[in-house]
Amino acid sequence: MRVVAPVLALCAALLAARSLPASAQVADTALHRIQETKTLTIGFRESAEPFAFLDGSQQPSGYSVELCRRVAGALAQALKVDEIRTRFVPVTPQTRIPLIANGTVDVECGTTVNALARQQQVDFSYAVALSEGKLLVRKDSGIRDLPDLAGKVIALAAGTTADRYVRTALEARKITARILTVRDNGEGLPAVASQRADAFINDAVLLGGVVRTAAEPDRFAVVGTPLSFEQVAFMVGKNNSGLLTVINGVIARLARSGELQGLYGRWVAPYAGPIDADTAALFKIEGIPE
Amino acid sequence: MNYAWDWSLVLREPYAGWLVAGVAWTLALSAAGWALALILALPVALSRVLGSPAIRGLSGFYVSVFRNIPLILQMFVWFFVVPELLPRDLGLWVKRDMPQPEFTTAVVALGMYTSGRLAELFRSGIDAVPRGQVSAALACGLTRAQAYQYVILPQAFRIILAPLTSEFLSIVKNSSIALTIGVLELTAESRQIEDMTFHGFEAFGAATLIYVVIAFGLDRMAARLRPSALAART
Amino acid sequence: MNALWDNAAFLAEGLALSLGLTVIGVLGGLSLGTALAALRLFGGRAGGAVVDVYVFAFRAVPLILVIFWFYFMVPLILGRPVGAFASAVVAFVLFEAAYYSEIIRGGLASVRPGQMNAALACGMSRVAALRYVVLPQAFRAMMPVFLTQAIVLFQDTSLVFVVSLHDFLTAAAIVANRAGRLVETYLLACLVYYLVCLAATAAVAKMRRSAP
Repeated sequence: MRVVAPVLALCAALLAARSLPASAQVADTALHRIQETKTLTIGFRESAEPFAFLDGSQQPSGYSVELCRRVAGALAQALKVDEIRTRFVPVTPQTRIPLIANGTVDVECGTTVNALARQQQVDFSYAVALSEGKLLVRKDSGIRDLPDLAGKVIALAAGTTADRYVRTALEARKITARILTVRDNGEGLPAVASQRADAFINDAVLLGGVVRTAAEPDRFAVVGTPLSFEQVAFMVGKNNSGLLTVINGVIARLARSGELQGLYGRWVAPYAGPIDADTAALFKIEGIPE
Repeated sequence: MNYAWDWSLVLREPYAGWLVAGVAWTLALSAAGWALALILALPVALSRVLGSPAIRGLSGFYVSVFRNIPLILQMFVWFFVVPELLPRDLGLWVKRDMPQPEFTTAVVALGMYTSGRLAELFRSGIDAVPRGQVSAALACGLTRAQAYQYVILPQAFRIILAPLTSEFLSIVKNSSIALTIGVLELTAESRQIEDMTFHGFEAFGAATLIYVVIAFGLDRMAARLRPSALAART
Repeated sequence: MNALWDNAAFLAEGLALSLGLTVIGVLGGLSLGTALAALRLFGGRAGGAVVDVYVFAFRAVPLILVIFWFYFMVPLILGRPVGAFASAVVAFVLFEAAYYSEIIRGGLASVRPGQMNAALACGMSRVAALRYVVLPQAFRAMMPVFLTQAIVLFQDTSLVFVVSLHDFLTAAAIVANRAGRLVETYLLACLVYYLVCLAATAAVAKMRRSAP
């Protein structure tokens, strides 16, 4: 019984861990970190076109990434240093919140939906886009909307809001379908293309991005009545109002000057069509004065 | 560190239920993969010892393929590649209509991978039995097959019983890799709890504790199955 | 095949990261593993118990879970960012140390106790006996097992896939999904892992043969 005592000790240690003293809450840890290292660590998604993705030369690129590069510039001004370098850390829907919460990344610039449950853990910037959940399907499948998926297989990316609203919608409408959990958008399209799943449900703009990068884009379509109406925003850790002020300042100034609309038009419009009334109103509202 | 501990969380619904389901999937994956591995490993090991040079080469290749490619990649190959190489209808069946596609694929991947390791273990067990025993059995009038069945294999089996339990512990741990193709086993469930509640310490802590308990049980079993312990009982 | 060719540099970087993780894991694991083995030998009952718990815990838990622990939880404990690479390195070193300390223990146990007694009888101190008589023999017995373990580690580094660190497998998965060429890319990845491991295994076998 040589290992019994040590194993019990390990259990005791695990339980004792709960009595660790919680240190006092420190505000603006991210800003201090940025000031010390002169580096902004940006969490980005590798396959969330057009918001954040690896481009042809495997460099981070996209609408959210470009906005965050501007945040780095604004930070240099705010902190009165010559330059704030940027360091990019890839995140997935499942890792992004823990990595913000544990301070590995200062800001997440991807396509994260602002949700109350998430606000328990992280804070969100002003919205940079609006999001509606739709279905990515093969054109030849005949699937038009959620009810067509009865008895079919639905791919959902783990850790996305779609994971929750789709399950809720299926339950509410008494539709039975099998759920296939995939890791990221990058795995959603192959699942539909290979007929492992009949639909991949996520934000319609993202799905548009997925289709555009497909080897045969003509085989796929994004269909259905919107399953959700959500805001896409950047995430920072709790108690980082200093950093959040800089980020929101960048968004407000760009919105006021019309540059934000330009960036949106350049990056997002090719996937989602020209700026719609809701998004135009959002940007107008966010352009708050100095 | 600022963290609000809540260990009762892992005992509350729905999370307690998730952990139980995760353990069930982990054990089911391990048991089914183990059964497949045992069925495949014995013929491979025997053909490596007894087969003609060509057969020996073939079974050697089998073992080296399954041992020299990371399990996670083997999992991907069974999941993403193999169905595409099958005839269209069969591939579709594998992807959609066979019972529990992700689970079944994971069992095949785990079983094949483990069969390579077990075949090597069986072979080392057979090698550990002195060669003279085969000659002695043959001299006594047994056929070669009988010599292996009644003389060599029972002894070899005894020798490898203890390492066999540690191989079973390996398959329990390796089953966690099935989370990469969407099987919600224990590690994935703890991940999911972390995702929903943001209480990673408690979620990972609970999973760790469960793995430790499983390993502890197997460790006790292995101690009883060591040749010395077996000899003491007979 | 074009997609693979276009991304050759990206894949090569991934392979370099896999090999780098392996080398650091082996060196770090060996150092810490030696320290653990020494603690077990000379640390008395308490030291032995600590090493027992350590080894048992790391052998009981899947490596994926260990990686998750270090990736998500260590920065919270330390209160500062660690990064995917550093946390993976720490996870591998701690994990491998448990295995290496067991290999070292096995290697030392393989040297017959009579050797130690003989050395002591010759008037050598315990330390000198270990240094000049026991360790050299034990080391020869351990060497092939060390290398086999290194090959296992090389394969295990692919598990950093779960934290999006761009090792060879993750790079291959990105290319595969991006180009929609899963079959070719994953089969190529299999071939690369197979050849690297086979070459390393052959080297170990050669070393084992040349050892007296």
